Amino acid sequence: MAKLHLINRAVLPLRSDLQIAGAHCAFATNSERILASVDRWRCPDRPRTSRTFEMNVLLDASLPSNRDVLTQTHFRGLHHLVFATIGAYEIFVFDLLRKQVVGAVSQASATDAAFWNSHWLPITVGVMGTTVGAVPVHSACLDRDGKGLLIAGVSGAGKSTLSVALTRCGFSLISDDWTYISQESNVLTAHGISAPVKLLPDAIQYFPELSGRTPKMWFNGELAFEIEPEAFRQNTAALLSRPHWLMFLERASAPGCEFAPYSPDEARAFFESAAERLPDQVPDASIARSAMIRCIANCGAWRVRTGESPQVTADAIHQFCERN
Amino acid sequence: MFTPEPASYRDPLDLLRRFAPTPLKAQVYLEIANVLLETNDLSFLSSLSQLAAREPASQSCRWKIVRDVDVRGTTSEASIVMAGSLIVYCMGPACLIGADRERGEILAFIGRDVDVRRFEESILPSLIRLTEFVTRKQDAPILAQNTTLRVGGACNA
Repeated sequence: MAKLHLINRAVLPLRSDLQIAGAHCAFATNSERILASVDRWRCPDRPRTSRTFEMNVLLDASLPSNRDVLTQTHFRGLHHLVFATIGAYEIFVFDLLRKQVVGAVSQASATDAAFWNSHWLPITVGVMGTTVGAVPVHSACLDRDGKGLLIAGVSGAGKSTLSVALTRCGFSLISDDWTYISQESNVLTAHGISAPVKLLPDAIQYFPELSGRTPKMWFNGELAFEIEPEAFRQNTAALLSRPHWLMFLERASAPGCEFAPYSPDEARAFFESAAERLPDQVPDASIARSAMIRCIANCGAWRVRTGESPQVTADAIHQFCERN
Repeated sequence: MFTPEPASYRDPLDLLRRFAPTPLKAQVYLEIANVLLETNDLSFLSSLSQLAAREPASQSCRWKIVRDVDVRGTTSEASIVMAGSLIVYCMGPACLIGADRERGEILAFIGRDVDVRRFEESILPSLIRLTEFVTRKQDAPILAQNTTLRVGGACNA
């Protein structure tokens, strides 16, 4: 027996406008519980623009609820479509061309606010963001007095651990891994999406307070501690900042922490080389992303080469930012 | 004839496998439409060829079918989502199919353990019905022709 879901706005009477990482989401559902779950992203009603994507979510209460989001979520994409399955029955399709997300979920997802806020809406912006002017860049972001510090680096360079260490020096965490950049009237804004902070098991040597926690298996098969980002925020409402410093983190075997200027061309090349390949079907998104990366690369940029612990490196960065 | 085995494809900048190579290309005339097939697995072409008609049809449809060698296990019960000009037909990670009527194309991932018999018995008929959906002008829901649907809800098709 096949399960058929006909999903359109006529059958999803509950509506809300959401603002997620600089992107506007016109959200519709048939479930009060889902609407309540996404309420933290609600913004005043607004007209649709080129920076709007539509998200239509059907609650099918007959779907079995026995799914595990972290271990049973599967993604694939071809051309402009991205498919996601959660367990055996829940399904989403992301249409990059039409800027539309459609899905059918069980009662378990409908009532799980953490599913929407920590996983699914962040993933949705990750998939759709480039098409609606919220460009994902592979960097952590911290805020200090309204000035944003972007920390880029290859996977495993220690961005997340350093970010947590920086929160001990007065910085507020916006994002530890992916930051979303939008632009209004030539002003760049860096957004976080409230995704959990991931710390690899060896971070326990720097943060003994992790010892009471158990690492979890993530979507990518990686074992990591999951910590709510609010724990690292000076201002729990702040999820955005203005990019001011841009640092490229590199590990070194020798002790010390060195800062060296990084050219806009090097910065641009780094972000371009770390960006997801986009399908040919959405050429405008690729062009817009490259333009945004050029703007980001024009922030003051430095290479930070460190052989020190995260705390010592964070202290050095703190002092460097005080001077620059 | 050289028949390459589909290989595992990994690219850290393409986690969704969008750019998995599909070097095999063929055109097959079916009664309902001419299918332009692009794939990385010759067995799909063999299955499709059994349905070939002598004459070309008036409609055409592009199929891109990727044998996903990183997905183990067979298909599960089907879930179908219809939204505007899209239908997504899903039988778990081992069978993901998207049909886009406006673009006249069908895009699919089929897991490594879905054998020829399973493909021909349960997936190929769905691909044919989706091709009807893609090439048909009117809005009638092909997949549920004989079913009473509760719009917006879920039903057994």
